[in-house]
Amino acid sequence: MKSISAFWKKKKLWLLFLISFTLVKTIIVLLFPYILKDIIDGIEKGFAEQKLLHFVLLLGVLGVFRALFSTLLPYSRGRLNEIFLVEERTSLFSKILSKGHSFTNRFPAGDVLQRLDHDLSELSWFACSGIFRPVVAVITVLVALVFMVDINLWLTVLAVLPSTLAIFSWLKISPYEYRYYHSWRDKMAKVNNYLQSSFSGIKLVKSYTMEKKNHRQFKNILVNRIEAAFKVIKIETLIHTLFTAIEEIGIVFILLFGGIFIMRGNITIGEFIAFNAYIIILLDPMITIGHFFVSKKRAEVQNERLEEVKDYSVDIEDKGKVKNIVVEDISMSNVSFKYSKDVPLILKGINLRIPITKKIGLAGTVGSGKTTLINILMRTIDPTEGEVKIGTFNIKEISLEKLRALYGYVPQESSLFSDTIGNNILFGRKCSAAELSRVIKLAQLADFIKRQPKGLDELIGEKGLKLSGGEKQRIAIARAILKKPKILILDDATSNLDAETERELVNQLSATPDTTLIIISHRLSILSVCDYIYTIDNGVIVEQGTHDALLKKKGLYCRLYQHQLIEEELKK
Amino acid sequence: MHWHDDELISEEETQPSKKNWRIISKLLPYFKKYKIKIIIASVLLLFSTLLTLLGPILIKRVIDIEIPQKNMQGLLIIAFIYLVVQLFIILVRYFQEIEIQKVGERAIADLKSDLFEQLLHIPVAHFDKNPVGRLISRVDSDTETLKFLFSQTAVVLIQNIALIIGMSIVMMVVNLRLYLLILFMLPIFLLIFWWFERSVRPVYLAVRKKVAEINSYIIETLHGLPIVQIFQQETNFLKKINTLGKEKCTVEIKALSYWYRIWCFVDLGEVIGIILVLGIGGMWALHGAITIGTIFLFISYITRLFGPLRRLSDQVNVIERAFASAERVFQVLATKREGKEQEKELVKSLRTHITFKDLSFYYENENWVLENLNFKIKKGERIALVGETGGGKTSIIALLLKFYEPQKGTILIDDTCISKINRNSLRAMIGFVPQDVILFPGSIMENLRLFDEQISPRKVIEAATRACIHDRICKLPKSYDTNIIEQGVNLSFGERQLLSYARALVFDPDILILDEATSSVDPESERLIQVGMKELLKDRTAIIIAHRLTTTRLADRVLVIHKGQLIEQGTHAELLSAEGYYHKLYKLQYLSVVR
Ligand SMILES: Nc1ncnc2c1ncn2[C@@H]1O[C@H](COP(=O)(O)OP(=O)(O)OP(=O)(O)O)[C@@H](O)[C@H]1O
Ligand SMILES: Nc1ncnc2c1ncn2[C@@H]1O[C@H](COP(=O)(O)OP(=O)(O)OP(=O)(O)O)[C@@H](O)[C@H]1O
Ligand SMILES: [Mg+2]
Ligand SMILES: [Mg+2]
Repeated sequence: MKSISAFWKKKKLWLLFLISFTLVKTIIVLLFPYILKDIIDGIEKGFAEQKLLHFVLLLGVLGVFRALFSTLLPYSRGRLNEIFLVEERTSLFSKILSKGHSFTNRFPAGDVLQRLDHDLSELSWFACSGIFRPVVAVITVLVALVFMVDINLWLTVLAVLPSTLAIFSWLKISPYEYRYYHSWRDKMAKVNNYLQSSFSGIKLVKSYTMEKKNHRQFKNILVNRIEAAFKVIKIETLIHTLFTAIEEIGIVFILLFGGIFIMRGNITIGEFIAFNAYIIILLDPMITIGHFFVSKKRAEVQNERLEEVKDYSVDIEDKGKVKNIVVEDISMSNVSFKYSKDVPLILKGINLRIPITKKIGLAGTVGSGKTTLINILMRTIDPTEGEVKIGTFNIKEISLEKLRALYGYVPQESSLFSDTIGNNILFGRKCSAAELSRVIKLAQLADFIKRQPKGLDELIGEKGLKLSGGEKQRIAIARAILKKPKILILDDATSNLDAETERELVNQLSATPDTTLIIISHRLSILSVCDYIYTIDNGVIVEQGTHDALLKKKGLYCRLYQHQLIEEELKK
Repeated sequence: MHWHDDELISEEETQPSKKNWRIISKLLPYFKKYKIKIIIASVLLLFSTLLTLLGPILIKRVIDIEIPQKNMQGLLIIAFIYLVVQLFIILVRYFQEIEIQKVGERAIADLKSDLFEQLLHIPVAHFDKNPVGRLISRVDSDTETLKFLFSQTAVVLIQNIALIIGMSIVMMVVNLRLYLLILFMLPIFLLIFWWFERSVRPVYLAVRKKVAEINSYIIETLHGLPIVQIFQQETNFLKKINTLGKEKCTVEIKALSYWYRIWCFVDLGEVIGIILVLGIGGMWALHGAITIGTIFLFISYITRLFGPLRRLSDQVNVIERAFASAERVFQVLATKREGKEQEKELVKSLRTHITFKDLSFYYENENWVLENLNFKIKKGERIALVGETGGGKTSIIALLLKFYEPQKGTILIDDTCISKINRNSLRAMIGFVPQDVILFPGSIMENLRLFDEQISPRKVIEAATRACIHDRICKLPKSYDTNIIEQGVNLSFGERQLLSYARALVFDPDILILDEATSSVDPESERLIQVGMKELLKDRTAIIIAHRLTTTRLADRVLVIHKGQLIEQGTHAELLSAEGYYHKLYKLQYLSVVR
């Protein structure tokens, strides 16, 4: 568990503090029975009242310290748990922020959340409290042994002997524990995923009156989860019980042999009572040590689940060193791509050029690979074959930061965050009020924002669910423009706009002279503003040329175009 | 991220309520089902707990009687009894513990299931205001905390009450004076617990709130990951999660500090008890008033009483956490559902027409989205809704589906106001393709028939063929069994839309509502779909919302909605000759292209 050891390396002082004070505290705790022994033996022998009071006073003083330490220590541990949690969450989150499409394909959001919430918070309990409990326990056992041996060696041996059994039985049971726990965690993630999808799709659930069915399904998932939980419960209780039983046998030994020893005059009654107290003090640490193996196994599972997320391939390696690039023509040569090994190619031998500052259109049927192509361009995925170049540089040689800075991107699907309109447009950037209002005007949002009671400060809900389809798209467009990108990509970004707004928007965007514009659209009328158009079908570029040239070719583009005309138009 | 605080599922309620008993009484019904098991387990628990009192009594006897008398045989017998009793206790505990935990697990699953069902039935408006992450944490982690309340805290509570009573009796019998001496500590403890309870609740509510906030943030970031990357916002997002985490950490530590303050008192209490017994009891023993065995008995009882409390040391904040969670959980359960429906009228199909009458509507703050809409849709008619973006088209549909209630006016199905119609029967009649595609985790087949096994694959394939998606699905390696990942990220956007459309066809609805259902579909596929649709829509009513006028060309009548009002209506040809808004849209979309 690298994360935990790394954490402690940073917190050496705390470690020192915890260990040394734990030691002090343990000694104080264990001094109690020792003094008790002296008091009892004193009473037995009938010593002076004065002396009794002295002893009791000593006990009282120790007691105050005990109370102090035994709260201060767990408090500090709890604090450290929380600190570990924050640091680890942040570090995991930063790893997740660099993941690519295969990560999303592998881990549903609900699953990741489950790991970052339950697994991480339990792991962070383990990171400090969990680890320190057995430390305390071991120290207690060792120091107690010293005190006990000091009283009587043989009785100590007899009292501790049964504990060896514990280790043996542990070895037998632990593999099951691990397996059951793992499967329980997986079932928990299933519950989380199901909730996630049902709540996100609530409108569909309601409109198709799926409530009953969903409820039934959810119950089934819960049943699976319960079954997995039962297995964990059974095995953990078994472990717990075994350890208690073994310890109780130790007490019986003390009772029996201790009694015999007293009768023989080997030990005093005070010592017998002290022994009893010690063995009761030892009971807790034994259970704790036993439980430590349980919690360690759990922590291993949790850690594994977190590392799985952490170490999952990022798809895109940021190894590029080129930092200062002059934007030049972009070219793709022989680019092919597939999403995973055992599926067919999505793009096949794509060759294209995107001259700088030109306006480029991409047309094609559903699922032909347009979005995939754009993603390769922005390097959110790497091509399986072939290369993408900006000028003479392969984009893999350019640092990811610089490369991505070139692009402004409006994705096909809604991609807003539950924040205010203004923050969604700014999206972490700063800009002057004048610039902001220019962008808002450009994105045809001015009217809409004026209508909002709180203007730019109006909240838009999760994924912008309080907005109409067209409003979402325009905010996404504004966000991309505000970045002042060298290359602006609109992936079907106007599909929910009315013709008037759309026309206005596209006209203005295509009028910016120093921006390269790439438009993907199924409304081919828009593409007429482009200087050059590529038509993609089934992952291959089948046609290219200007709008007019393509129409003359009477190929796919022309066919698509004609479908879009209303009958009367065709008659003309 | 910012959120409205919904009055019903509010996170802000950090005021501690003095409703512990009410909360417990609400929780009780979930355990009623397992009454017998719980009673048996509790009896076993009580029994085994009381048996543990026997240990010190036996040892006292050894100290006071067997040892002074050097009675070896008696010692052997007592040791044997001790062993048998302890093993018996352990055995009983084993079964009792398993049973209790199982019951806890089951009861909480019931609660989860109820919560889920409740959330499926509350009005859609709540989902506008509460992020999904928040709702998940209600159903998932909040209830989980409640489980601890039952299987750990309740057990310790019962155990300790039994111990206190049992010990009191034994101690009273053994030595009343000594017992009275330590009894006076009790009220002090009660006072301290009461103070703790009052001050710590708001802190734990604050903790839960932060957790939900963090979870929502994580979910949202995961969904928008590519965008975050392309816009290079990684550092900002990281900073935000770090801040949120630190805020949570601060409240959590505050809660801890409360907890350990009380813990310190508990520990001191034990010390005081022992000192009293040893000091005063020792004095009496010196004078021969009590035996050493008695002192032993008292001391070991006191330590035994504090033992179980101590064991919870690192995790006991469970109780307060649980009450904080319970409050949130029951708040959700108390939320008003979409109105009661049983007695309302059932509809099977549309007979004559849908009437929108004086319809006015706003989502919030009297920001009117629809104003005074009046129109009729006849049975079998195909209506197109067009108009400026944000004009209110989707909102009209939301009202028709009873997602929201209009502030003024009504919608009539035939001649019945929809507020009098059974919600589910109304929705079952309508096939709705929402503007935002919604897909569930599962295979394509399951998504198309919405997990309804009774719908035959043939019917699904037929619908998919109509929606022009069958061939594409067949090209996928696993065809209809392909898994849809996370709202469909492994499909192209157009493919997702086609699936969503095909799904509506699978259900063969009486009224078909398409809200921008083919906005990202290429013209050729769209044309093919329309050919299929013409045949399908015979005798069926359809409402088609679209910006692309090619999509609406099927319509018998076009309604132009502009800023919440109906400004034009008529057939395509009529509207063109009227040279109004529709004409303008038309010109923009087609004529200018021809240049
Ligand atoms: N849940 C909501 N809460 C508050 N306001 C909303 C909500 N949903 C929509 N609105 C607002 O109501 C207005 C009408 O939205 P609606 O979705 O009905 O428009 P639309 O005609 O469908 O537009 P589009 O063509 O862009 O989809 C918009 O201004 C929108 O911001
Ligand atoms: N993450 C993914 N994993 C596996 N397959 C994918 C993934 N994303 C897309 N595909 C597949 O790749 C093909 C091309 O998808 P892409 O999104 O590039 O199409 P598109 O041209 O943008 O289509 P549309 O016009 O519908 O947006 C589709 O058949 C799709 O099913
Ligand atoms: Mg696409
Ligand atoms: Mg809409």
